[in-house]
Amino acid sequence: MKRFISLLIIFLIIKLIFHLHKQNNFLNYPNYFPKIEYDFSNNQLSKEKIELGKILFYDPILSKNNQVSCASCHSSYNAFAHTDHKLSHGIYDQIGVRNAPSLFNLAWQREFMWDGAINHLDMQALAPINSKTEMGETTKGLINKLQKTNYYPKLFHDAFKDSIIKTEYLLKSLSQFQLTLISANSKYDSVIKGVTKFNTKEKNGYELFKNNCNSCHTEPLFTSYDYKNNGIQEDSLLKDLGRFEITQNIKEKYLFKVPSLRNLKYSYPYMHDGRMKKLQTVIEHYSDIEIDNKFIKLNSKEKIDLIAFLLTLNDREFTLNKDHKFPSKLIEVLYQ
Amino acid sequence: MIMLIKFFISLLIVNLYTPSSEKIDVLIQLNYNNEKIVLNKAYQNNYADNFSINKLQFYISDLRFYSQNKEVLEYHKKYILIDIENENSLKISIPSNLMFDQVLFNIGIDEETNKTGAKGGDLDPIHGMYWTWNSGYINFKLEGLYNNNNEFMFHVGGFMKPYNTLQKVKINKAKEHNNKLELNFDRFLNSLDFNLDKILSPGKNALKSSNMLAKSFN
Repeated sequence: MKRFISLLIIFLIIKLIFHLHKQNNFLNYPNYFPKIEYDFSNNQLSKEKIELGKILFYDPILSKNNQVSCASCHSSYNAFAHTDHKLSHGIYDQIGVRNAPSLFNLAWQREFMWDGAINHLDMQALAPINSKTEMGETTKGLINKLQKTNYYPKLFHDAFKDSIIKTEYLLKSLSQFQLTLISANSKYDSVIKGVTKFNTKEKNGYELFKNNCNSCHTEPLFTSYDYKNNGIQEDSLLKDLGRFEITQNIKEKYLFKVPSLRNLKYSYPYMHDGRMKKLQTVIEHYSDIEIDNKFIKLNSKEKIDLIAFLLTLNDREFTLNKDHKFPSKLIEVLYQ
Repeated sequence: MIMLIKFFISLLIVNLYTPSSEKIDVLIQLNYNNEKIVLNKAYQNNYADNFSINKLQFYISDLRFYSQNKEVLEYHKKYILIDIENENSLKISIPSNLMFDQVLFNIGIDEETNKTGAKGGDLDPIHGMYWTWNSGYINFKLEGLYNNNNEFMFHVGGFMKPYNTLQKVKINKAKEHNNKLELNFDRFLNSLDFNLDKILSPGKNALKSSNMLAKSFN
């Protein structure tokens, strides 16, 4: 009996190690990244689930009039942001109230949306799906639509061993695809890995960054995911109160989530309402104001150096990654 | 292998917790003015000459049965979505020989469940008891009409401090009826000022409303 129990324990340990190893195969990230926030114990990664999530991400069936997909506002070529659009665009040519953020390194993120309204990656997709100005669907309507297609019940069965489609499967598979969007191949990363070196400007910029920006845009993810008031004035039309709208805490008025500084080249315009088109405008803004009792004083040469450093955070490989692009399987089903 | 272990564990639990394999249903009755609430029926309170209810849904969780102040059963389903339109949701199946005089439960969903991602069954967001724009379950939903055709909506929820609307409730079994639990809405419905009260998000008003609901049940 004792022998049986010890064999059982050994078997379970081996299984656990194998399982952890398997999760890591899907998520390739450097060892200087912090501990992952997402809890995989309720949603273990699998090839089929990731693939299903990708198909759903690119399928406009998620919107009421079958015209807007997640990828409409989160394009892989733009680090999954919506370049050149200040506010998100939805069905029937509607304009939303905030700037669609870029999507990467989501496994490290605790809360989602500019005000942190969403407290778990799994629940995030419900917001745009149900928003009247984005996808205009209802969760129930979408599940019914998916169930009636002649391909999704099979895809859900392949992934979840159940051809009755459930909200939980929809949300978890969308999470799985998005969890695989890891951006960690910028020049900065190569420098940290010791493969290459910064040039003089970039090196100066890195020092300026560490002294002035790192407390909010913390390395290596380049965000602390905290909520901050960065000093920009309220837009008189949008009247966006930020984090206050979620917590009702008066001290949190005009606080917005600190975005990552990775991939800035692809994800303009900047700020929660996309009001700044150019990185230079952003730097000018920060040179003028006091944040957290601190002034960021930079001369014109320093501003150039800081931008030079920020550009080393662009991850071209990430935006070109074929694994993240429009799935060929979806072309088959859309045009069959 | 994990399935096998789960199977044995569930066997063990079933053996420990089931004194009798025979089951009976305890009926949950939602009352106002000592009568079962009827949808779309005209009622009256101090704030409205007439009002009617067309939707009444809420979560109860961590249901426990007590006999003489001792816990005798923890209900196997941790979360139950009560829906006045769904008769089955108003039936609680317990062992036929279970003696109890009191039940304890929470109105609403706990913080942990609100923070840990997608769930199924009664917790599936498809039931409309989840805020899609601001993560969290709607613990209690009451909708209807007042003073003829004015709509009212009370969506009460929120788990973040200081506006955590999860409420503990302790109620006695109905005296004359052996297997009936009566939830009394008198205090709650009488307190509703339909002209002022509209609750659609977490916050101060939701907290106040959840307190009143718990007082009404207790």
